[in-house]
Amino acid sequence: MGIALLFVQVFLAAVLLGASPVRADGEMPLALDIQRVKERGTLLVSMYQRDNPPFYSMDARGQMSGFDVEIVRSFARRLGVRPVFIRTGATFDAVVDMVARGEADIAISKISRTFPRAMRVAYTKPYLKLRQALLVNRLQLAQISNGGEPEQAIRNLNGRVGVLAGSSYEQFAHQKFPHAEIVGYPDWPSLVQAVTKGDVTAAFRDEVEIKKIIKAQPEILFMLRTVVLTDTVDPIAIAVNPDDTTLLTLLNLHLDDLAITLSVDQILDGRLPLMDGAF
Amino acid sequence: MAAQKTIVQRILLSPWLIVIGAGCGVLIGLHDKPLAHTIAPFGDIYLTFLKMTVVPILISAIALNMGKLMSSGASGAYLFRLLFAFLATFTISGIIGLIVAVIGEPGNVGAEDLRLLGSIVQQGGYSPDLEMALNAPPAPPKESGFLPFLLQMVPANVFQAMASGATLQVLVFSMMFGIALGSVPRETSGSMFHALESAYRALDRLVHWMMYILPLGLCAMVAVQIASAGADIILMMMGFVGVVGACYVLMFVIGVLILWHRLKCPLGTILSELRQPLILSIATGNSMACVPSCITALHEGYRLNERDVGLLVPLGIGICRYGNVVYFAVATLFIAQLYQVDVSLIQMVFIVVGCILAGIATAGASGAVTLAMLGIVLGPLNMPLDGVLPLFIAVEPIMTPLRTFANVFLNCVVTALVSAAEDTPDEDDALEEIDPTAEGAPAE
Repeated sequence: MGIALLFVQVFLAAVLLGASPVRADGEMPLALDIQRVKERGTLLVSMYQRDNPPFYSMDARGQMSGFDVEIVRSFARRLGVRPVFIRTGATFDAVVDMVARGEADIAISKISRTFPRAMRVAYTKPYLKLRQALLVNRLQLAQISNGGEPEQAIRNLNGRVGVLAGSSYEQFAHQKFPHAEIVGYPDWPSLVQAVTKGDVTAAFRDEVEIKKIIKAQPEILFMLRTVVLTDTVDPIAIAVNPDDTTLLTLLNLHLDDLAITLSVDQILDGRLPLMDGAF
Repeated sequence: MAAQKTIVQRILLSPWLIVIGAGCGVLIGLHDKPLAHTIAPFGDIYLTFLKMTVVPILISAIALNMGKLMSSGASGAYLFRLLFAFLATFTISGIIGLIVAVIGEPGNVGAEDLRLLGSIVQQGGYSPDLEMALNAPPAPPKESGFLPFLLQMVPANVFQAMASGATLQVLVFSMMFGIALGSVPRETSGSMFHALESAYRALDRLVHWMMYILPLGLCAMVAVQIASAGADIILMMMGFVGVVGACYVLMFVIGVLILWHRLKCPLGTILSELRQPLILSIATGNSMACVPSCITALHEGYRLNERDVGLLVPLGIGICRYGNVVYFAVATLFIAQLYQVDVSLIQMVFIVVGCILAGIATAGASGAVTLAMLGIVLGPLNMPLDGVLPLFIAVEPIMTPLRTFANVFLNCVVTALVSAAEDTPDEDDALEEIDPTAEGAPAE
């Protein structure tokens, strides 16, 4: 009887110990999602297909660089794994969906936090808060203003507003410009061309992209008016699978430690946050 | 005026000294920018002195001569001819601007130029054109266009208008005051006429004295102008500046020929008598400041009737900015060409009318304020101004003197065309209606 009880206890202990593995060095077990990443040795990062400096771009030798890339690298370094960038997402929704399906650990590409996406993935706190902005065709703006204030014409924008298909701005546009016809474009250069030619009255995207045009394509500025909407916010965050709660906590913790205070203009000038501190 | 001038006075007023003064200014502006800025205050003081006389001269000259005109009786036909001359010159100005701009195609620029133009438009780093809140309480509609301009032409308080230098309002008041004064019987109005006349003569004397130090003032004003003009930007806008300049040269040649035909004196005399106001116009970029000098040149140099000159010059330079009309016409086509907007013939007519209205609306304004009036033309055409305004502002340092020159010169021409000769009935049939001997006759 006594021997039988002891046997059962030993058996139970063995079963329980087997269920939560204790590492040989005696450390506490890792959370499952972190364990998965560490065992793999790589952090799978879903990233938008097209380069978008200074956030993410690949140079001629295949080296990734940029603001978002540095955030990922510093995080992976702390985790003790190597980041692998998966650049298959053709739209930002597709980039996010890779995480939702578990094909990548995190998604980062200057991704906006939106309500529909948050039903599929979990978001970190925003590491950047951009404002929404417009490139407006000056000729069409003069026409729809009809001698009045351009601000009023923009508030009641009723022409065609171009956005990147499958981007957060598709949804933002429906919110902000309910009277306008929202037209999706496959990529940013063709959208900029469309607004320059007057196919759409305005192109709607975040202030970083609008300000990049100011520097990169001054020759079209006589045709385009750059407008930043001061009372809008486009929170930029990292997406993870809703089940990877520890990964999300760690990312938030890391972003807190980075304490990014750079302004949009500084980022555009190529300044990167200090990521190699005392981590 | 002083009939006999001393040797010193003659040297000081010599055109050569004026040229030397301007030449020194150019040299200093090009080679010693700090010195140019050091002597700039002297130029400012000089210009301020000239401006000081503007409002009192406007009032005394216009009220006095309008009054004389009204009491001379022959005013109806005269005013009609005056109006016709103004309108005709306005229309011709607009049409010349349009034609030269259509031929010159200043807005038809290449891709490389567009890039440079764009970088001028956007000089402020990453700052967008407009930062606005999407959800804001609707602002009260800002009045713009020609109607509010008309409404503010009449001063609610004429002393306030004088004190704040609202040229146009002062002009309107002086005209109305002069008309009213002319209808008052001479025994009552005589003392007022005398007071106005002595005020005018004293101010005229003041301006005369200022002319003795014109070479020095000129040197300082030109030096700082040259020193602060950005050559690179002007080079980029060369097409636009060139077309406007070509219009002015064309109108200058026509104007000189008209003066030649009208005054029947040698070309050399025509030009040398106008040298002071014309040089002043370029040096100051302020057409009102040239009024006294214009009156002197036309009256003493061209021997034109003082009453006509004293009325037409301040009135014309104040209201009839022909140079601005040309400028607006070219600028409108420049913008249309830049944006590749096709302008129909009917729209051209519209542009001419709009430019004339905008030109009148610039009355009393000077410098870059003038540019804002371009909105009067562009608004109804649904063409944007804000995108290209920085380009126009960039070339203002060179455009302001040119426009002022055209305004002053063309007003001299129109004045010479409409004015009677000094104290001799003119043989030109158009001028027979005004009989200078009727001057001073009671209205009734």
